[in-house]
Amino acid sequence: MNDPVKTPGQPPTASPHAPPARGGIVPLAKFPFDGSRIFPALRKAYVAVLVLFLIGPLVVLFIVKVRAGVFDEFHAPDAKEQERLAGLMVSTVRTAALATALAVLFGVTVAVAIYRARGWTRRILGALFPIPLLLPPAVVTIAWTHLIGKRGIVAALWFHFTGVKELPLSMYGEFGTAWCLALCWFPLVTMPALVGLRSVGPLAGRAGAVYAGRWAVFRRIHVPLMLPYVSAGAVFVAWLALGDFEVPLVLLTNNFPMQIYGAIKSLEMGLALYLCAPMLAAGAAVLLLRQVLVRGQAAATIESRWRPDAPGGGHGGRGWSAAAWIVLGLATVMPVASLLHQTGNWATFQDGLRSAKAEILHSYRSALEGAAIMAALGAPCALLLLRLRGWRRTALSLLVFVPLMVPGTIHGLAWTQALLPTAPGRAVLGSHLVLSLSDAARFFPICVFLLAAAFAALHPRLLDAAKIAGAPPAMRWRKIWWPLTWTGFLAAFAIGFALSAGELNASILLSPVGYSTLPIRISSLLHFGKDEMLAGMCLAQVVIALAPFLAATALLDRTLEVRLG
Amino acid sequence: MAERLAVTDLHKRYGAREVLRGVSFEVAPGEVLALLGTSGCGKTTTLNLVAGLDRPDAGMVALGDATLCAPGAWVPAHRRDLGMVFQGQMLWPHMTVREHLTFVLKARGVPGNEHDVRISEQLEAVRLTGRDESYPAQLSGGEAQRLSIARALVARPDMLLLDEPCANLDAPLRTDFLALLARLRAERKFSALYVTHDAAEAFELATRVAVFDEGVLAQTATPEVLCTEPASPAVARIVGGGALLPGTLAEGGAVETALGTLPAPARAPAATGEKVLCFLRTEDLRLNANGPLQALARASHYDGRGWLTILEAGETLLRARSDAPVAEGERVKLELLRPPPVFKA
Repeated sequence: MNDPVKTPGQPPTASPHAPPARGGIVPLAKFPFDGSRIFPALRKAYVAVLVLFLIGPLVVLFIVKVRAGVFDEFHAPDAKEQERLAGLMVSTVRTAALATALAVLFGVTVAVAIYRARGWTRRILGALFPIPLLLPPAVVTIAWTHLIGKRGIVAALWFHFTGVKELPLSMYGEFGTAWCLALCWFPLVTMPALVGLRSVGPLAGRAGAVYAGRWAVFRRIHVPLMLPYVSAGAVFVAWLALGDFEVPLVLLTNNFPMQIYGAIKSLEMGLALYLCAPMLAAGAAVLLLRQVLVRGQAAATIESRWRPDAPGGGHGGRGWSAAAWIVLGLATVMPVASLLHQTGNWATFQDGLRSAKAEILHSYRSALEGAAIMAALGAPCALLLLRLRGWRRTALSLLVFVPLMVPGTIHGLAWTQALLPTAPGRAVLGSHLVLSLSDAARFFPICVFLLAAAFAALHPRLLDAAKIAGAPPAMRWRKIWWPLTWTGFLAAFAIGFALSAGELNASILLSPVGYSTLPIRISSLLHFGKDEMLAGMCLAQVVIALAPFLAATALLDRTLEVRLG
Repeated sequence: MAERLAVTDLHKRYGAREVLRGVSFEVAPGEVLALLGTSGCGKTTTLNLVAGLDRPDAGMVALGDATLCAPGAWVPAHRRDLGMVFQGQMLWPHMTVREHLTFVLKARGVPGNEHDVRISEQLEAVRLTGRDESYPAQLSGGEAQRLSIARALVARPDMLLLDEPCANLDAPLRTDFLALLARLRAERKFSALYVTHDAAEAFELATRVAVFDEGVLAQTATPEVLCTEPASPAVARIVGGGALLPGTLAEGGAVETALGTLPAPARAPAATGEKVLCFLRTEDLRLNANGPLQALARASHYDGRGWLTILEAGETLLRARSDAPVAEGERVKLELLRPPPVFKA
């Protein structure tokens, strides 16, 4: 019999067992053990733990400390200083906005290229695009400085040919900072953009093309449909860029988070808290702006079904592919090649590894623990987020987003202040556990987003089919739910690991005495160590982040290959 | 296998919307009952309540001697001995064909030494022999559909539930699937509950058809009765195959319509002079130069079984059979082969 071959991943159009929720969204698969009925108390306890974990330290910092009189001896900066701080804040916001715009440009380009590509190109692009996320901004900046910095290769060539010492485009300013940040964080836009492209599908655009020109279709169909997805990633980038001081640290420039860091270092707690306020306001403004932009459409983002096996968006797309290769080249190949060139030889790299052996082990340990906590604690949160409706859902989303909205420096400060007053807290503060916990809390939203996407991809009828087949809850969990969602856990773990391994903003404040991670070591050697040694350590950092990611990718690729035939 | 299913007074509400209002029916052993209705009328909800995928607000479901669901009693879905074919198949993408069937047999507690025999038997029955190690993504549309029915039947359930299984299939696959289902049913004599919105599909497979209208069971009858004696205009509309023509009940029971005077129904639905609706089936209307009725021809086309002419009678468009095509705008005469069902308007 010559049956037509079924399109892999053809979206099922099942009528679900409950009426569709708002906007015709198909309900989500229930977790095989229905917590809402069996464990209501456990759910409340979990939410309480989540509140403590995610915003407890901030509450301590902003409420308890203020009430304890941290502002009693604080004198607000004079007018001249206020003006300088305002200028810095404007510059920080401008840099973050530029970084976000560039990340959206890069991220959407790569997402469209992956969506439109076929076969191997699609698989390779799909496997490579998260890699920039694994490279800490400091490392990327060091690599780019080596290329186009004052003493960089390009500057030397420029001087050789033109006799002019200064390059026309300087790395040491807002553009350079934004450029490095965008190259690091654009995968955070690519991920939701891909979900969006696969959920929206090519038909809406094609339907529009019947009635209107390309530009009108782009403006009236593609932009409104994709906005909730792209803006979700853009918000992450904007928050991370607002709070970052790794890049300015490398470039020896100044920004607002560096002022906060300086205030904390000089033990001016009142000033640090005073400076936190505009940063928090900027973070909240970003979220508010996004809500205004996507009024009424935001609900679709998280419930959209991520279908790794979904058909691509049509044909052609060579131009998009070429652009994506360029972006990925700039974000991964260029920095790594630059670091390799700077390292010089294998011996220097080995020296770098040897001298930072303890830091590498510490980084691995903290990142592993942080990622495990993130994945374990994030899974129930993702399930809850998908299941809740109305104000409960909004409240939980806000709760989850808070740690990322708050700049890493403030996050680190909050954890210190929350743990310091009690003996068990001081014990945690004195151990490596504080880094794992803080990393887990800080990157929790990204982890939850990945898990929610994986859970949303599971059609509820697949579990119903197992139920009808006679499988009890444990068997449904073991044979259906877990095999179809573990890839989400793996992705969340791998990304959580990489982000934790490269975290500097909070860990520089939290690392216990005698316990340093590789990013901290790199930052301490930035302007005082040998360049070759620094580059060697940066390469070690890249290897640390890449190794588990590549292993996870290989595993995922094999799994998807089996599933998709 | 083949137990009597009894559904009594089912009620279900989702928020403010009452989806089912007192639905009751029975499926005899070996019978196929089709649940027919438009989208959102409550047929899939009924199937889910029978399957145990959702709980009713009130009512009872019993299979043979076992009460599956009643006030104070609830058998979860995995303990009801049912098989189900889902719309869109819902095959598990990470399992091979053999693993699908093994999963069901294990879940149903079938001893391991019987697995190979049962699986081979089932794969042969659905013509999937040799495809045991394939994953769903490697199967064609027809093979995937046959796997879904194999999964539903491999454990020899008491009853088979089918939720719009042909909804995503093209015409040839649909024909193949219905033929396979009819063959399997003849061989195994299972009872089945078949949800569909397509009357032709329901008539092809079902012994009786239950027509749903806005959460209420409007009529349960054989296909023949449904076509010739629909209980209400809504049932007539859902069953299809004709059109409702407004008219007025005249003296002696005849009905005055835009076509002319129609013969008196067996039982007058309204008083003389009252407005009524006549259900005129396409197959009962025939163009005849000597016929007593008259209408305006709007179009003619060949539909594979003969010529079909679209007629205008007042504001109603009707279809009638003819031996040859008719020119647009021509006034034609026609006859009615049997008295139509008449309803109070």
